[in-house]
Amino acid sequence: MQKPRDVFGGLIVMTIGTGFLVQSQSLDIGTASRMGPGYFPIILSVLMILLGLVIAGLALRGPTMEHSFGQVPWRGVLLLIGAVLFFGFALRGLGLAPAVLVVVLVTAWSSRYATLRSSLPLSIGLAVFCAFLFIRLLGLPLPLTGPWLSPGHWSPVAIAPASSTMPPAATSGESR
Amino acid sequence: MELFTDLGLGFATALSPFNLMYCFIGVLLGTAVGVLPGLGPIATIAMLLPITFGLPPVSSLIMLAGIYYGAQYGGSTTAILINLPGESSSVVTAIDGYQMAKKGRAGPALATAALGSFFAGTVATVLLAVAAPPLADVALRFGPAEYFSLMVLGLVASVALASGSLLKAFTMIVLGLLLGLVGSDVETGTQRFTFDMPEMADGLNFVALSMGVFGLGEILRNLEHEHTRSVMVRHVSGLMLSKDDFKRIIGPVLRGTALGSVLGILPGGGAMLASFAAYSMEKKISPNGAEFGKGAIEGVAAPESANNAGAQTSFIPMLTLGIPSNPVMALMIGAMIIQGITPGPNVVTDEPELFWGMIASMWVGNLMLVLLNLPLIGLWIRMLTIPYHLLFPAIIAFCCIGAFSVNNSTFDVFMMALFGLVGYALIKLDFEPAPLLLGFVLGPMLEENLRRAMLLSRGDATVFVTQPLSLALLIVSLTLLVIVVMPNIRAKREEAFSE
Repeated sequence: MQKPRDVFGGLIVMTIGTGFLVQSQSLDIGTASRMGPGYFPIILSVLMILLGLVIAGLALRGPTMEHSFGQVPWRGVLLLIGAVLFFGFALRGLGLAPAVLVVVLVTAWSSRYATLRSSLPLSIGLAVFCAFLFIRLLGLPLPLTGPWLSPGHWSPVAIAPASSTMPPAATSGESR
Repeated sequence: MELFTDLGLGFATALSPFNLMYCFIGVLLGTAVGVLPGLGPIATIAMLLPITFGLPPVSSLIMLAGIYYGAQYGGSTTAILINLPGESSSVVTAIDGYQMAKKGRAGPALATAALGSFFAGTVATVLLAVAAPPLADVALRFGPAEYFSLMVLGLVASVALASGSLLKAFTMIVLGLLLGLVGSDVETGTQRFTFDMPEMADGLNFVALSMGVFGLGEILRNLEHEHTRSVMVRHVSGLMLSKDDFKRIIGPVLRGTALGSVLGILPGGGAMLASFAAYSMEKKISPNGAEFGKGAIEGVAAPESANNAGAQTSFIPMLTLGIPSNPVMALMIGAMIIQGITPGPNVVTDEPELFWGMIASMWVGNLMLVLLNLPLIGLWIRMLTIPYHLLFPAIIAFCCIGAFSVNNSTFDVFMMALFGLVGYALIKLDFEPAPLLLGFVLGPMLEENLRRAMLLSRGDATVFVTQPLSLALLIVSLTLLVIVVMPNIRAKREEAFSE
């Protein structure tokens, strides 16, 4: 057991347990023979809090170690999670191919070895490959390129419906 | 003779061209995954789960199983050639395998690993075919109290036999159980921990959770210390074993297979523990014990047979009891549930084609691996050197699309991002997240059996200790716990895992 890390870890476990316990308060506990939806979660939450207490308690007795968190690749964390969130937000708007292109291009830069010469072909290649695999072969109901990319979409008078703005290539892949 | 008709059905299923193709894809992907840096079978199977939805259940499970045991093969290749185990179960293979490669004996080392694995796979497949149906028969007679205690034993054992802190592993199981309860309560329909979000009513998405924690979380862990690999052995020649080599590996292969088969059945055992145990046993009893660590061929044969046997027999509790013995089996159970199959003892009788087809496919897959891997070793060596910075963006793209495709919902993509952060935070706090997946899969089953047992006993909690079988299972769990917590054994256990 290491001091700062495990004290912190134990506290987090206790917090999670408390969170579940608080959320369970609105659930019916029922009786031992007829358990309600709250019975088992409350047992588990209390168990979780106890485990957190023991972990933190044992760690307080242990030796203090420096640098126990190690290094955190902050750039990687930000770029990677950011890219996934972006994918979620923009997938339907941008379409599959551009979304994959952006995700790969962005996440590639969380590595310290990334160069434009390697990441650009990689992202284009993957976008094409994913579009082929998931839309053509597996029939995922997604447009190849989405409505955000059509010229009419961002003008105040958007007259063209989304489906007609799709490039011809997407029609064969649309499985709906 | 029923066994032969059943196996006949199994081979008929496994050898149909369609299933043969998916078996091939599975073992090929599995080998690739074992060879490629920083990509394990858990993340891969999680990534491929969405793709398997459109397949018939048999084909998808055949493919997923192929990935698991294929990865054991691939992992040993990297262990031998570059001293980096591609899989945790190949860690000990690297000790002597790499030394052999340094002496120019990479060929015999690879051949030993492949042949040992094939032999072990064959024996374990037979064992699975013989042992599973009677075990399922016994399990069919279990009441809810027995089932509850059995699951407790499974969870306790998986913690006791794994590496790392016991307390933390338990915490992960409890967290997994709690996360497994999110969604509508099965009996009353009450929404639990959903924050009134309709997307959560069906529970947390299994695929998003496992891809987040094991895909994204692992990538972040790997980004901490990126390094490029270099391969010393570019050309492997002389795959044939000499007569002397052959004599030396027979014993270790047999013992490794036996040990691995037994350890694989135990919950939490599986491939990794089997390979560790086989290596240390062989080191003690081999007449060439002094050569261990300096390139002894026995040091490759024993753990490689053991890990493959263990990988195979760990399917026994999964297929017969519906209880996962390791995270990969938890994913397989998840795949079954998604396919509409209730895992448990009924699978053997209700889905004979699935059950026997899967068993037969394992033997077929093992044969494919031997035929595939030795001649294609040049290809795998080239794959070894694919830099990680070209690999992980692709993994993330696949995870994103995979998470979306389960329900065609972007909500699951956001959930995956959240679980990626959670997974990485857990790793940073030294909580190994693997037991979380076991808890997540077992959570609903555990609660259901607890409720039923208590309902049948009219609220009397002593039912778990008055039913003899349930009591026995609980005593075994308790004994395991006491053994692991005992100071001198704890020191030994830590020593064994730190090797």
